[in-house]
Amino acid sequence: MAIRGLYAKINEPTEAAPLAAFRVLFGFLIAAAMIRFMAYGWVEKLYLAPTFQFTYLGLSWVKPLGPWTYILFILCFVSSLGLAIGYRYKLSAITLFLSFTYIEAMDKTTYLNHYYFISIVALLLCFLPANADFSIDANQGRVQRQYVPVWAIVSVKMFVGIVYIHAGLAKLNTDWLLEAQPLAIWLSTKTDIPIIGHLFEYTWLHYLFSWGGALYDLSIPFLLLNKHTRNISFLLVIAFHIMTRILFPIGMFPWIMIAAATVFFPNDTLKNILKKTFKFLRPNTSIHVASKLYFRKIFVGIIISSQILLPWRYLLYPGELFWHEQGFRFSWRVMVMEKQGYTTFRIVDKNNGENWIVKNEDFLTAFQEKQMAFQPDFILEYAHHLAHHYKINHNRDVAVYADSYVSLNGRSAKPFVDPAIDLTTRSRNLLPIDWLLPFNDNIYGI
Amino acid sequence: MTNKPFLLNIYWTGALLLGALFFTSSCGTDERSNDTWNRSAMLLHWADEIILPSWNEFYVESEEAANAADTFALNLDSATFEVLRSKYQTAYSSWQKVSLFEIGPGEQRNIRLRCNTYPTDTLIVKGSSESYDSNNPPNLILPSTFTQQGFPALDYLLFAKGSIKNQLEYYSLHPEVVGYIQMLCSNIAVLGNEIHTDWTSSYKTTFVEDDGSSATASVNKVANDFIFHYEKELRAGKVGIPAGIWSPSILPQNLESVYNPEFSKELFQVSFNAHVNFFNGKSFDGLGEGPSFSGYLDHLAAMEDDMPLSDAVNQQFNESQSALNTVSENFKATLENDVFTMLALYDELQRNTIRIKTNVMQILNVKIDYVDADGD
Repeated sequence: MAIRGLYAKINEPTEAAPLAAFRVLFGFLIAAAMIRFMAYGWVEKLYLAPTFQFTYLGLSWVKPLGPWTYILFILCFVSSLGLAIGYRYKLSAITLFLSFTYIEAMDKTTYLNHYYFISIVALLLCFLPANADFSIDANQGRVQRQYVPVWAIVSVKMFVGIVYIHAGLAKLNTDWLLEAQPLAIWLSTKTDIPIIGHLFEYTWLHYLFSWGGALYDLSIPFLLLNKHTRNISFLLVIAFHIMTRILFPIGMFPWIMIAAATVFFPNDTLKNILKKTFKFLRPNTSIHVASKLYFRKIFVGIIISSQILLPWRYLLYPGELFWHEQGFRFSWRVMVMEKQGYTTFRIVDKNNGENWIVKNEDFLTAFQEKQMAFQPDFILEYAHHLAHHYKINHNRDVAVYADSYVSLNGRSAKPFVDPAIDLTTRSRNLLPIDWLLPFNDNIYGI
Repeated sequence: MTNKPFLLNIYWTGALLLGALFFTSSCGTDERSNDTWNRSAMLLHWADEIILPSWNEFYVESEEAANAADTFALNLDSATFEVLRSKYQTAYSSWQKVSLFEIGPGEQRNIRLRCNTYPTDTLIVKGSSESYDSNNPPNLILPSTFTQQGFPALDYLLFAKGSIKNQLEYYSLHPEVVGYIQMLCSNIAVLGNEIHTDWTSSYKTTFVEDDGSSATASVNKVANDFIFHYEKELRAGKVGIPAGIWSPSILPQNLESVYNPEFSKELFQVSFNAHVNFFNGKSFDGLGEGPSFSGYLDHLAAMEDDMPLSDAVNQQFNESQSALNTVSENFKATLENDVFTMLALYDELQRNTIRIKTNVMQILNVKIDYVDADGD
């Protein structure tokens, strides 16, 4: 009975204001992010300048499109505006999801959790009726029902909650809690921040930030859900993310998370704000009925459950997650480690034994080299690329050995890749990696 | 309403936890001093005691070399030629001390590429020097001319024929070459003068005042330059590339000072010392020490296993020096006769490359400044 009651409850029609507000904020922020990205010249720098791209397993066909790459960004920009004002909503949302995700998949060097966040939100929006109210579609009568089922709003809240909670759980480890790492490293040199900068010299502050950060991530979804704590916790959200903005170069992330938190506000508050700001988007009629959206509900269910499960896939791999990083991405492990690597490759001609070391800068940009140096999947893909290069351009059959050192969360650098293993004998797949040297230390926790 | 006591509990627990943290951390033995590391004091020390004196010396010595070239041009004999060679060597040595400090005015002028791109393009140097016309000199600002100017081109023009007698014979056959030498020397001197003037008149203030921790602030840039220079110029350029690390066989023609190889170790040594001294904040005059990367690492209580990280770096500098001591004055001869001592030197230099690019970068929280993408 309880389940049936719950099921009935999530299908009840409700005001669409929270979804509409979320859609508007999200759309405009992505539009701004696209402009920013292009204005900084990053399209050229990150996607067109490199001659080689690190690809995702199974998505190696996704490549920059030369000058047409700009069209992708423009497409993404236009569709995000379309989404914001709710014009041809479904088309806008699908275009935004596809173009943005394509951009992100072109080179995983640029992987950021918040880009992944944007992709998932865009995907979610493809299935949510976020144009039900305050949209051109509704205003022009393309949408007949101004209410949405409760689950449509709940799913966004759940997703935002999942992100925070996993980010918090990822901090429950001995490095974070007992050593205050990596924040101790990051904060120690931030003494130039106005007013509070000198405090970053103090160890207790590193612990305060570490513990405070974990506590914040784990509790904020619940504080936002509760009507007694909502206002104060929204102020906390703003303060927290502005703090991270001041301390770290994390681009649009703070604004996106602040915007996302608004979905927790009550219908009336959001509706009143929207009425004042986007009155012209109001539909003329108001039909208080929501579509049932059976199939879409299933898709949204799948997205949400995958978000709950994916962060735990690391349990399938032996060894220290921070060391081998299998299951690290797409898991909301945001800013939980500081890793620096130095990796060079020795090429041995299998026919005549001639050998030499590769100048990484001949193949990679500085940014790619930095990211490659400590991430095993990058190292392997690059090694394969090198073997391919010497085969195609020099007709040499070569073995590729990596000489690699990695330092993690303040530990001194240790040998990373087994230098005796020819990386061309290993293939790219999801099986546990057997060519890394052990971490030889322990980080306990989730 | 029913939630209130529960939430109060959360806050109380949180407050208690934080209180406990304050307490334990303030009681705990804390190795690091709690004075704020004074970044601008470090920048001021670098500027006043190391960078400016280095540029000053370079400008004076390169001017002397230019004068020696002019004197030689008036009187092509062995005495003036020997003076020219010796002044050129002194200037080249002093170049090794500023090469590390390209930041700002030097970068604007591409000083490192203009002064020390090697191997020089002998065909072009020969061609344009023998047909040199002072009324129509090559435009040395163009990147395409970087391989026909600077010390490596002078190395070729002053030493390639071998003996003084052969050199003088060559100059009497091709008097235009002397004009070309004068022009190269004077170009270096003018650059040295301009950069020194820029530093004293305005750039020093900019440099010292930009004392933040962002990617574009002075400390971060200097850290990047230091690492870059150690890795690419000292380790790779002077040793690794000629020793064939990145090629199937050795490349002796890629050595610095390849036409005067007796001088190659000296140049390496001066550059190496400049790195060690700068890392430790040693003043240019060798008399004092001031705030430095080494001091900053100590301030941040950086350890490498059981040893202070700064000591680990310095210990490895010592190992590198020991390896260098076994290499003869003539890097070219060493490469051709005993490449393994050269490779051993490379290995020692490489150890600190790894250490600096991982452990030191991590602790100093250095961002690679040529990448300004977001993180998360």
